[in-house]
Amino acid sequence: MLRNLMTAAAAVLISAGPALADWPEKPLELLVAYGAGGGTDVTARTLQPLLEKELGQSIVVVNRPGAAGEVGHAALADAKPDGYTMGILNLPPMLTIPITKDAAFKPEQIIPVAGLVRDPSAISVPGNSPFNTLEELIAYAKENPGAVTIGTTGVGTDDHLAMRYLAKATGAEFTHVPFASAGAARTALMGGHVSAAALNLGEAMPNAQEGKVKILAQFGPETSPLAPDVPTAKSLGYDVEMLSERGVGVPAGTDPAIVEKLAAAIEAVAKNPAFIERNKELYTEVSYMPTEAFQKHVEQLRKDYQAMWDESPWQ
Amino acid sequence: MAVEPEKLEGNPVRPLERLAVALAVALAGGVVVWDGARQAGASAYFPIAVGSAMIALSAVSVARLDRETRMTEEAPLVRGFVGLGMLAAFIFLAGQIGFLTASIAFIPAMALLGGDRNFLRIAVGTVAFVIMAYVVFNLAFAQPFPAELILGG
Amino acid sequence: MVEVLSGLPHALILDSILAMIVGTAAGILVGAIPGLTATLAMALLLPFTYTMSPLVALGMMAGIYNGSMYGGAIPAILMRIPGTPSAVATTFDGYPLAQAGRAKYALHIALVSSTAGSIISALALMVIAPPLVSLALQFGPTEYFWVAVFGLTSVSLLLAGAPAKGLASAMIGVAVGLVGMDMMTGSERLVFGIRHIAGGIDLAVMLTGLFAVPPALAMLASSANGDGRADLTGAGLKVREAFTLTKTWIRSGLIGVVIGIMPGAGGNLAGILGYAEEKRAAKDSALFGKGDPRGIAASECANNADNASSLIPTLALGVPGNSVAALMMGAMLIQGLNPGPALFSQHADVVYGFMWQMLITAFLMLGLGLIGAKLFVNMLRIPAALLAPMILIICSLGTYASTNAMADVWLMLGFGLMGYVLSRSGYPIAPIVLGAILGPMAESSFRQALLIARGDPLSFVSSPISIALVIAVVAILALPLVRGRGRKNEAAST
Repeated sequence: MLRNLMTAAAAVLISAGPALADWPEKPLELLVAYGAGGGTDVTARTLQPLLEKELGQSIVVVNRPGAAGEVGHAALADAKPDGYTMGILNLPPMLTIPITKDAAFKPEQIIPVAGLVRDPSAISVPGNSPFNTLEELIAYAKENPGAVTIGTTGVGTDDHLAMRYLAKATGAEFTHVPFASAGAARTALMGGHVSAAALNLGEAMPNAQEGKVKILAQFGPETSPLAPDVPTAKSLGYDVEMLSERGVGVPAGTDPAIVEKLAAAIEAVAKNPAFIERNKELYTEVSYMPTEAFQKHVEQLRKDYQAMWDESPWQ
Repeated sequence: MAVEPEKLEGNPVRPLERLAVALAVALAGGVVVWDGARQAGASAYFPIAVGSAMIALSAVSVARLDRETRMTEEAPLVRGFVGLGMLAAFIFLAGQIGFLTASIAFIPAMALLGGDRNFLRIAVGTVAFVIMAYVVFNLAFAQPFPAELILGG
Repeated sequence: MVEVLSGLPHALILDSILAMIVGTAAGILVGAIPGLTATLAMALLLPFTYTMSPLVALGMMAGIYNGSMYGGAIPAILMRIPGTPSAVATTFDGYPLAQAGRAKYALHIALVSSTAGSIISALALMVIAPPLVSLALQFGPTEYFWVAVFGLTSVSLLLAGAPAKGLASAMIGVAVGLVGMDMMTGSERLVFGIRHIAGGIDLAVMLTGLFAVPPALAMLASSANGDGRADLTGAGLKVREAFTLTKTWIRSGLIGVVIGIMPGAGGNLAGILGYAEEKRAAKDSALFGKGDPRGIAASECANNADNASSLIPTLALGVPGNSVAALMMGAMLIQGLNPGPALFSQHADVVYGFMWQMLITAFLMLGLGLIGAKLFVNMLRIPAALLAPMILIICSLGTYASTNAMADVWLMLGFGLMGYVLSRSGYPIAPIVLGAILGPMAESSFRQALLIARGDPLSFVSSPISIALVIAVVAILALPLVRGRGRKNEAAST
């Protein structure tokens, strides 16, 4: 009943039908599946003014937090596909949530329009830690199974998955200590309450520059221009890749012409030096992916996560 | 805020109601225990402890129950529940025809429930409030709300 | 010290002063409307800060932050409805005072105490930020567990009148805090297939329902009963009287500062703990809950004192202490300012200018607060039966505005029903909120601590801070007994 009400409210909210040629002719909504002030929200608010200029219409950022991102992604999936509601897609949550439970949305209900930014997962230790390389940490964990405690940003997050697959790839045994947020995990790391923490590279970078933490490795596909000194796990010989990515999506059924127009506008923003510079300051890497490539990428990731889950569920 | 034994004024709360509330708290505790017992491993302990505590504390309240009628500052039972019913109707309508449109019916209805019979004052108050709320929430905050039948949503 | 002073001129440019005035006024307004919180106001402001200069954006936020903490006291005193979660304890003594015709006095106490708290906090931010940060880092899961236990214990003391019902309320709150995904395992608890609450229940929604709905319902009956209504007649607070509260301010100010520094504890706790401590420390606590000015002073001073101090970990470590600090950090990030020690060397003008803004807005609040209270008191001229539906509508709108979900408005109604029924039977409402905050903190930190210590229970008393907290818990439990005996002895000897 509540769902029906909400859908009804949303349906009433967006009235007029799509007039493709003139799209967009009224303000657009950009859904964010997390609360204001978080990483996804900052991405959306960095994108908003520049995208407004490209589309010539105002964009309202609407936060729909809840259920670790499920509520927001479901809101996007259920929105009227008239081109006036779009949302920031968070990977992997958009794909892992429907895998781990009977979620309120399916990935097929959302059309990925373009990839925007990415932030690889990374493993860090406190600044005064005896470990200086990933190899030392893993060797110690192998000798003393369970003695290495790794704080993460919660069960099922990209950081948790990175930790799990690192353990699997090396045969080392870690003790997983989940925290409620990146902030809490980071405080525990800096206070030396955990031996290491899996955090996104951008979340660990500011403290690394101050010497409060040491980033041993990151799990991106290649060295990040933001942190050229941090090696990738792959380059160290551990076959683990895990990153958090954000893109833009629209509900399934949206006119392909609108998707194309929107993708072009996002591309222009992604190539705007102001956008790139702002993201650099935020320690996130702009990595634009056009519609077709992004859709293929999302589909491939979905298969990978499903295979990983079938092999060994992470919760 | 709470019922105080020495309180002499206010609205009466009969022992039967206090018993029913204590039992409801125990029932809620039971639900927490039952849901906790369904959980695996470490997720189960805390809910079971919390639910059990709720049941035990309710038992204490029931044991201490006396036959006297206490007084409370809260609204009398019937009027309180009619008010809550009206609020439910308002929320339902708000989702359909918008918050402000629903307010036009809700304010006079509740004012009448509260015993106000000055119809001119109710009418002026309702209109003034709706205009003020429109300015503050729709214009100043520019938040997306369910579409209104009036004021052009 | 020289660096700190160098920030002052930056805070005193015209744009910054205007931003602080606008922010403080907006903060008082938002704080005074139940359902609207500082978090929401800042979230709405955030997109506009993109085009502002850093100190204009931050000055406005400093004003909102400080102003909203005082604003929450206005409806708490006048209508027994806390405008923000942190003003819960202000209702205990503020409302009885207003009922006794001393609303003006109560509002003045809240205002000067809020100002005092903000000043203490801003000074703490300026002077002792770096050493406090290293102290905050000493707090690991074990220490947080004891902090949560300490919080719950001091509240059970606060409710010594009806221990079983007080504890039952706290447990109901803890049960509400259980709703949603278990952060440690990912399994869902008490969700029953309702997707909307799978991520947990929004504290602001719960608070609005519990605290705003029952008093609104009571208003429907009060006009029939011819209940006394609060107004602004009567004497205000005299300057000389204000200084008798100095001890209270220092005590609750310190509590607020310490709670602010600990990430995750949040300002909602500061007011209640400040109140509990004041009641405990008072030699004559009989008047507490019946209109003791020290109760208002303690609650309001503590909830403002955690403001600037919650920015200590934010600025120094990049770890926001609560949701408002997280939004401020978001605003800084948008400005390209990365919180952390480097910020102090690279953008000293902004950091120290911002600290001054936190101090200056405390004084602005004093002037704007008086005007604000006068405006809001006019609301009470509206007949109660007409005011009740208006309050309920504002709460519904405010709830909807913060999450854009009708389901949360229904949830607010559910909590309203719960608060009404429980309160009628003598269950206090405030411990429900505290339980919902501290319950999850106690559970997750307990389990994290056991994971880290690999199941060794002795780890709970292994650090000096843990031991100190355990002693504090024991002391707070034992003190009433000791004091009671002491009084008897005194009585016997005279």
